[in-house]
Amino acid sequence: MNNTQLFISEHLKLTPIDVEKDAPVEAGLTLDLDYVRHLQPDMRRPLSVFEVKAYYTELLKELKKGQNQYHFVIRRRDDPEERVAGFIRIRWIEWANAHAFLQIAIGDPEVREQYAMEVIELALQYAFGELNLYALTCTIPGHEEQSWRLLEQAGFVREATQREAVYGKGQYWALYTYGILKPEWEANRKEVQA
Amino acid sequence: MIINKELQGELVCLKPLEPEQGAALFKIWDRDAVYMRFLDSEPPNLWVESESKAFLEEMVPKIYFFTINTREDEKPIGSISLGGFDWIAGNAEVGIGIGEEEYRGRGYGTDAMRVIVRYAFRVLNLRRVSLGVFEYNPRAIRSYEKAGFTEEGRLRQYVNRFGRRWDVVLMGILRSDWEKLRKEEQE
Repeated sequence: MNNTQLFISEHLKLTPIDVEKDAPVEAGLTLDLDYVRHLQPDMRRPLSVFEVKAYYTELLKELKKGQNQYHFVIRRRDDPEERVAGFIRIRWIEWANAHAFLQIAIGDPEVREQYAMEVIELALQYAFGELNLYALTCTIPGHEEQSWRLLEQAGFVREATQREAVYGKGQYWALYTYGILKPEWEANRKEVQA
Repeated sequence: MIINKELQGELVCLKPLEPEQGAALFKIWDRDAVYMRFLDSEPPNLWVESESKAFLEEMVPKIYFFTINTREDEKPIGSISLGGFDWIAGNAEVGIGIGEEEYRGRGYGTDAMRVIVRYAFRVLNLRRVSLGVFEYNPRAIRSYEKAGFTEEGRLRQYVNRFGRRWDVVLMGILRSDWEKLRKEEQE
């Protein structure tokens, strides 16, 4: 019964933010402009360490205030320095609707290549298995093909295509909305176990 | 009196929302739970007027917030806003509500929507306008279609209400859609 872990998987662990240690590493990750949108949606340049610290301060204030979001830092278990590799955030939770938005940001290219599915599984396990949410929504710009293909692989369904809603890499792209429902997640798990 | 034609339609004209007036209007409109279930996926709630005012004072610089007024007698009957601006992609999200019940279903909302879409493209130089509407509000969906919006998908089973789950319908209008409509109207 009470025998499953939430914050550790085969190759990864989830932890809270460590402001002083994480800020310089996460600032480094924002050199990838596809990553910076996860921190500041309207920002199209890398962030300084100072800005990332200010972002943490605001985020920690928000996390302390209410029960409508959760934030976990992703770290590799085989990294002796346990540097931040990305984060999972479940936000804008509406308890009456058992609905939330899921944000998965992976900045470490190796984690993205090898362990992305592990990250998604940790996120879904927490959202459905622990928070008892019913529906999760995730938006991804069309040009981030690797990301939306992974979501499809994990059982998410493309629910909406907002035409020309984002601009990046020199052109307009659709903004895709992906969703997954708790019964879909449960069915996928049974399939994997069978 | 100065008339801003960009913010005027056939039935309505839009005026900047004054936080004090807005808070007083919302205090009345928020009591209508049927109305509030069309506006928000969160359970209807009641707010202290001073808190609404403080909230609007904070939002007004970030959101383009207007009251919808009848041209006939300048009565405020609802509100409409453009927010969530992405100035790089030229995208924004519109929200609308006709708080005065007797003005619903009579074309005032559709007219206000046409005005804000024209304003978004002609004045703000946006390229698209987006919105979300609940599946259980077909009257609003028809109104948005009349104003030129197209369905772009559905967030499945987002809302838990009236004993079942409902989709949120996402709709959008591109400047090219709007220009095409205008051309057809002129022909």
